[in-house]
Amino acid sequence: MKEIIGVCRKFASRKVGPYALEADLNGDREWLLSVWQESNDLGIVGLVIPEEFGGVGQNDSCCGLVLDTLSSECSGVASLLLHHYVACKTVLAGGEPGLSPFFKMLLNDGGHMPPIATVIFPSDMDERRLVLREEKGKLLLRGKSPLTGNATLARYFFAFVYEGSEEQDMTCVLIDRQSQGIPLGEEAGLPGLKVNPFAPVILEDVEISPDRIIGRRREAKAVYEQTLDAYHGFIAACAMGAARAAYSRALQYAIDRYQFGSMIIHHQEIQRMLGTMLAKLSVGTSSYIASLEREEWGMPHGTPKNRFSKAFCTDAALEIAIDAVQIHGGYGYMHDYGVEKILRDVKVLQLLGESNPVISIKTI
Amino acid sequence: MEYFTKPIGLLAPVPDLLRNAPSLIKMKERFPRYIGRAEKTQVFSRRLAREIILPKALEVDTRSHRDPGYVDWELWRQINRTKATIGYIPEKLGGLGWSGLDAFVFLEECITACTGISAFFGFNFFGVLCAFVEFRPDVCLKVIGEMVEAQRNDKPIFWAWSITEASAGTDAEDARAMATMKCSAYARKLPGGYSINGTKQFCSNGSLADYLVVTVCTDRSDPLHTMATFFVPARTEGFSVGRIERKCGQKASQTAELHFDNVFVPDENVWEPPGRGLRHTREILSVTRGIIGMLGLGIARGALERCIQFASSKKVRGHYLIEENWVQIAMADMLKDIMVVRAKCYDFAIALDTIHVLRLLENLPVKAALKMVPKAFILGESLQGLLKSPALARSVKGLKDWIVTDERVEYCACQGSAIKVAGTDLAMEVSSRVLDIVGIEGMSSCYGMEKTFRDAKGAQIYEGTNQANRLEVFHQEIGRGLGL
Repeated sequence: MKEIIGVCRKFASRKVGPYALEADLNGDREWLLSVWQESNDLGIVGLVIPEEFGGVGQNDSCCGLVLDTLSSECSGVASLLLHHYVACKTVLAGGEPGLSPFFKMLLNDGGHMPPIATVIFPSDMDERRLVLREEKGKLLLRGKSPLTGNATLARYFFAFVYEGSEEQDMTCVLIDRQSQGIPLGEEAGLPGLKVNPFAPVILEDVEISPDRIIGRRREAKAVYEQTLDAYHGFIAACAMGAARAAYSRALQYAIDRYQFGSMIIHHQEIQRMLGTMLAKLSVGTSSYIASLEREEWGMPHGTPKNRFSKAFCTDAALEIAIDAVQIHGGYGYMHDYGVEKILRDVKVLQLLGESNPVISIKTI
Repeated sequence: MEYFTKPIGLLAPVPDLLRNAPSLIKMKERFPRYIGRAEKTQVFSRRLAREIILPKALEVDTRSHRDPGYVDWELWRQINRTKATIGYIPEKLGGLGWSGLDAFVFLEECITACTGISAFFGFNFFGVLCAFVEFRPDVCLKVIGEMVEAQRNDKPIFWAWSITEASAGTDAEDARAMATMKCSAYARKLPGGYSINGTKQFCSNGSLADYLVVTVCTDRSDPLHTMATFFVPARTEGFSVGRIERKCGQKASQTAELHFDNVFVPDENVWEPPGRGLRHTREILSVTRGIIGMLGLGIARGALERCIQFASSKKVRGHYLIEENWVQIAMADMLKDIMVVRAKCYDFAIALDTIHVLRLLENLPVKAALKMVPKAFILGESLQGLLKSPALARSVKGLKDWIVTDERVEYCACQGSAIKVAGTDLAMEVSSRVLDIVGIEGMSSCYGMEKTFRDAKGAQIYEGTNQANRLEVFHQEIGRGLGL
């Protein structure tokens, strides 16, 4: 695992970091695909997929640390892998019999580059509900999906949809957007993760063949819960990676910047801010690693949960990013310094998955 | 925009000034014209904000993101036709005759609609204020004359006030900090004037400015005692605009780098001599920091209103988002903070009318002159020539110094600092919290809430970082009394 992280760090600082700001402005699709290609060559893309299916077969905490490392250079790039990993997790959660054909699709596209996948999570918003119905022996999917990461780039969409009005009537299906010619809605124009534009998928009675169903009802609900759980854990990792970058930039700036009679690192208030940032960073990091590793601990109760790490880490990351911009003063607000980008990215990460107040409410 | 339908806030059918600031009801009994005008200003500003600014807010933000130098002049002209661009000029002379209270009421509505656009035309006032606090009658009348003329001809005149340098931000705003400030720009004495060299940073509207007011020291090893204030028309040889910054938010308001290469300023344009520059800066800050607090409040209100519009039009699991109990509590909590900060903002605005530079308009000789002397004569060149007489200038300045004492300037700076921190921290908190309520769908740029989030962060930084403003409050209210 240490080796993988080392390779990833080198890759991120060479291939991702230097171009991240430019890509934030122009959403350079070609560059992003070349990052994807190279990540694949390094084995980063197939991290989640078990070795017997041709992947690298690493555990969740390794994936989390890889995302953390990438996110400290560019959260937008990290979010591309984040959504792909979660899509792989959907397949894993689907259970043994279905595994191989889906992994085959994800790994071997006939070309040299594996296709990008993503997950459409159900939204609480009624106008974004996807409904699956049976008509003349055909399964038809209809609706405008919630905003989805990787939407503009992905070929495969694992979608959690409804067959009835109840929450339990959930079904997990696979949509091949490319071959089924499915249109996207307008890009959302989110303030962060700009290189990975979020958009809804528009499904107008798209036919779903039975072999593209990963689970129905109770089975689907279980797949959904495991997938969402992984999503939350990986979001926490991305948030901490971004916060790490914000912290180290703020620290460096404080060392270099003169104001109020000395380098600002000598002002107690700046020390207090940096100290608090570091405290949140270290607690957050250990929290997400622990929660991603909990299955290996084998403790059923009282172990950390990914959704709590997500809530804690993204809130902490936002506070860290806000303070990092503040320490940079006027420069922090300018695009060139790259800290305001972290602030925007982190705010989007905070709202991915279930929003933090909703996590607290649903827990009880 | 289509989701802006519910009759609250900017879309409220009835003005709510007295409802929002109930102490004004008592005040109205005593000063019916003063409060009555503020009520009218609210109706006027809300309409302007709703009909002119709000529909353009997102478009201008997107265009300015692509090109930081973009200006929507048609929008400026629309605003200009309402005279809001010269609202602070007395009615008799062609403006709208706003009091400080009127100006704050106006800002609240406009910023609720769009911070960037409001800053674009509103920060012009900061530059003009530089001339007003000088209170040289000939300069003031010339400025007023030009601004009124420009408004009538639909031709913009922009003023910019520039103090920040690359190596010194907040250091340029406070005596303790200025003593140790590292300056890069400096002015050299030449026969008949000064020559300025160096670069200034982050100047709002600097790229659009026709006139600049710049603070520069004459001895870089002793900025505190040699800081001076210069008036520089942008066409002066040697002046050039550098890069226009690409900001996180408030994109419609341009922030530019300014270069001075042997820019000659004749003695008559030295508004404050070396050693008096900081006093000039402090006097402006004592007004503008409170304004930035109000700006923060406007951002918070804009965020909350958008959130209410969204939550009351979108359904989750069969009911409206706004029907959720936790959402109601969160909204009430944010509104509570907005109410509290607003009360302090209006209190400060009334203080500016009572003990600060705006009080001068209430002063008997000024009032009498405005009432009795014809407009053409006031703005005419003969009076301006007459007012150039040093004796007269001295006596007018004496009148101003009698009202705007050093003590009052420092007091208002401290009050303004407290409001600035309260307002802008609230802006950041509310603009972030509303996004937690509306979730990723509500974060789409079309709902405007992500924009308020981006806008808010800058307000915590400019006009003195919130940390520096807190120190200001400490030194004035606690440290001074204890001899610290």
